[in-house]
Amino acid sequence: MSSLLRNNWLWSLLAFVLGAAITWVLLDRRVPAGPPEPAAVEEEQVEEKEPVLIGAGAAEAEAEVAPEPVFSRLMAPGRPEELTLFDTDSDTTATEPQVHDDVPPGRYGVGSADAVPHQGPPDGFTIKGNAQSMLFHTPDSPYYGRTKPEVWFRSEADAERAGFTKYARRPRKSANPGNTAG
Amino acid sequence: MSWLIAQVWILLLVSFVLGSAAAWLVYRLRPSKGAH
Repeated sequence: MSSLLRNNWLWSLLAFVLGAAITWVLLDRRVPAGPPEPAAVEEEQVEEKEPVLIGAGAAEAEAEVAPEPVFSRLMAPGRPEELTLFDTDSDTTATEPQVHDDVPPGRYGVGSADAVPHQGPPDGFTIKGNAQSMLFHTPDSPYYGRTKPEVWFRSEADAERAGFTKYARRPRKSANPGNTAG
Repeated sequence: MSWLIAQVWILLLVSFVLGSAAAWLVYRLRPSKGAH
């Protein structure tokens, strides 16, 4: 066995390094793969909306592929608002749903909203809470898409106030920090 | 002869697995070392 190792030590070393390199690359790639997913979803939504906004020029827009949204109005703070055709009557703005203020607090208090099955979250509520595990998932969580929300939260602080814990990728590591010396 | 070749392949496989395990260990321990 020792002669075998002596004759092939270079190949063994090569295999060792190759295994280490492949594992390292795969481990390293898995971390940034999570967060970009929501951005990709947003881009898809923008692309879906664009043909509706542009109307007749939809075919041209598809050919040119302009992912940046086109804003009809500048939102600079000092600039007075110019009324468009659709802003003439103040009643029209009143009929628009202003969900931010009207969301009734859910069973976990202010900042939470009970999830309705087969329905999306209220505006501004992006954090999914799981009442069984008492964990909440932000859009950065790799399990965000798979989690069926039982309660929505507006912010992480709201979720933590309700007694939920943020999902951590490796909870075992923080459980026993003493074993790192080795 | 064929047994010798099989031994070499096993040796390479074991080396690969050992390297992979070493890299995984290093990757796992790296952030916690930085935190201390």
